[in-house]
Amino acid sequence: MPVPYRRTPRAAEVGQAAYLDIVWLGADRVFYGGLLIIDGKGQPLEFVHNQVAAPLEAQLITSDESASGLLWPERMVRQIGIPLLTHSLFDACRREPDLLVCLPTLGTPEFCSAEIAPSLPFAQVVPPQDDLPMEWNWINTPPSSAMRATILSQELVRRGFTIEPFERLQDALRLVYPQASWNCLAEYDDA
Amino acid sequence: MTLRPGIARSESIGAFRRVPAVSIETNRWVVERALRYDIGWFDYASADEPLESSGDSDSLGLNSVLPKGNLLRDLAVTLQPPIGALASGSNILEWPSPLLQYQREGVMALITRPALLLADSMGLGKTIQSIAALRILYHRSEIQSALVVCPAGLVAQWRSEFARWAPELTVVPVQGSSTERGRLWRVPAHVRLIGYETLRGDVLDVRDSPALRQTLDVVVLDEASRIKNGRSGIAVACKLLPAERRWALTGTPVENSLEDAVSILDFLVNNQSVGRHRAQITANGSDVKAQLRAYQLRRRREDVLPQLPSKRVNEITIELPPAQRAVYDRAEQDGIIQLTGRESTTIVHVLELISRLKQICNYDPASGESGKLADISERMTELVSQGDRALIFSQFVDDMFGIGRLAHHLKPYNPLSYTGSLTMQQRTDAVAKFLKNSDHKVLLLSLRAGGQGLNLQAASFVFHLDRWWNPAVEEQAESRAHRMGQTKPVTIYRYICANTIEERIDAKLREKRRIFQDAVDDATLDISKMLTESEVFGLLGLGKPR
Repeated sequence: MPVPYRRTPRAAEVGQAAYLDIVWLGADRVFYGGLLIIDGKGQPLEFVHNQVAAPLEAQLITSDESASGLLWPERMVRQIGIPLLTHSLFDACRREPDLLVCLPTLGTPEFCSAEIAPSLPFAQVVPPQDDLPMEWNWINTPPSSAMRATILSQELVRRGFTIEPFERLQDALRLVYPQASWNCLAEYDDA
Repeated sequence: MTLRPGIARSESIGAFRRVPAVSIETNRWVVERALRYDIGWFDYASADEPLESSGDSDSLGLNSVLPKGNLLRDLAVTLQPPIGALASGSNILEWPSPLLQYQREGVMALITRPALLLADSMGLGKTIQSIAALRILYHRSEIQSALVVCPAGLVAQWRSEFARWAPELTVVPVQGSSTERGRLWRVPAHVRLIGYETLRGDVLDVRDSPALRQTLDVVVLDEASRIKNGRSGIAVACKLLPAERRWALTGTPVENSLEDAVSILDFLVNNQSVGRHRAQITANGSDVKAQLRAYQLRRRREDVLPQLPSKRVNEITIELPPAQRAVYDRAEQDGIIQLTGRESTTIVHVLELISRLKQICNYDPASGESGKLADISERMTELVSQGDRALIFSQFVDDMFGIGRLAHHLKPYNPLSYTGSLTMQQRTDAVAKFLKNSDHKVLLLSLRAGGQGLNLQAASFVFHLDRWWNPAVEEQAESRAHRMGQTKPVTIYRYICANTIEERIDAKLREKRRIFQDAVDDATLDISKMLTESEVFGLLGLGKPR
């Protein structure tokens, strides 16, 4: 007869969360992106990164050398580039996280839901600002309270792993892409 | 930690063809190869899992050494949780008890500064802070190998503290014969422990020293005043050790002796611009003090008083020095043979042997060795230097193994004795002298006579030279100092000699902790209330006779 004992959930049993961040460096016309998967204790498990170079503005070159016309407007660059890069990260990733988290800089919830469209609970974390506290907003349908993603999200909030993993992610991107024009990092306006 | 790069793929879309006269040019969308990395981590729930060690040149394992600037290593470090989170109470790393605020600050200082003299007052947890810092650095893949150099009698103590505060780290004491030590220098380990004299031999007396062939990320010197004589073999050996990070631990204010400070500073700065620092160190006292300020972190007990608990208990595991060990082993073997050879063995005979063995744990008359007395001397030096005073309890009062031996050993501290052989007036006078005259740094008390009723708040350190059967008796003795009117936190030291009857008694008493909880008000000296006869016989591996 086995000896009964009370099991304490291990970090791996709480689940794995994937933090997604994409940065646009206009000077390079490149999207740099990374996916960091951590466990319920904040320990890193997997890191994936990639870059996507956006095309230049198209130029209509006529016989008199004048130039006009745009084939790739800036707002479309983002609309195509972000999902392209994100999906390449998803494809390369080996683990199956229970939860995906992003920042508002990735896009509006509608954009994220429609264009990134992951098939797992997806949340957007809004950093605290002025007097407003941090916000955790589900992008697609919020998971039920019993679901792993909910328990994991509560654990991550409790341990302070809401914004902090993105800082690690951004530091890692600077490490793997040292040639990028990080000093020219600019805010990307919403479309 | 392991880190292995993955495989990826690439694709591109959107090419355009040049058209004559009217042409449209554009670049394509270019999606590069995504790269992925697995990042290993320690599973604390199964600390006995073997460490991953891969021969893959693209992986970080126990046996691979990747230089700083290597992308895999830098990435592994970058992606770890921040140091503050690791040291805090958010349970990323589980600690046996919460690190106090000043201890977390000490841990941060050790981690962020490549050379540090941690000179906290005795009893503030320098060992814990060092172990916590090492654990976090390993966790962040910032180090792969560390060496702790300490007095030989404290190797066991460090080992047990590592087991408590960083159970997932492999800790190897480098001891034994030269052949055995040669092997121990080569086995995979996160941390090696070694005594000062042993290190001296392995560095200076061994050709092609295995100690110097180590790739060490951290060297920790405990009781760093051991290297105060810069010309000593010990000091030379320590300074020859190659290591990026150098930590020195001492409870004695180094500024009290500039000569001591010079040698310790020399050890700390050994890797950095040696020429420049040597010039400064050999200059006058004000230069040395300035150097000290740059490298030293010192907190006094009164600095962190609000954060301290009122009583801290430290269990010190002592390794018997070689001659004392030999005498003990012989006495135990001979004693057991005698007991088994008797026609009739009673509990009294067994207790006599146990008492004899406990005495040898206190002191070996043949060689004059005593691991406990050596440790007490060192701690007395430190606590006296910071203005504190101590009580030492023993169940033995004789001149060989108990109070009398202590009085002889601690003569420089003007000890006073309080035993049952004194008249009541003599006992009263001894206490009064101790309370009124701070030149008496230590009061030696027999457990029976001095364990209760006395107000001795003038002392804030309590030592138990030997352990009694009932923890409640010890707690009652400790409360002589730890009581109303005490203005300082009280630090308790309880000694156990490793691999002796003391260790077995301690283990048995821990098993029966529930009984003692119930008997907390019953500080009885009656052994039979604590252990059965079978249990007492069992301490020597004997069965109770029918």
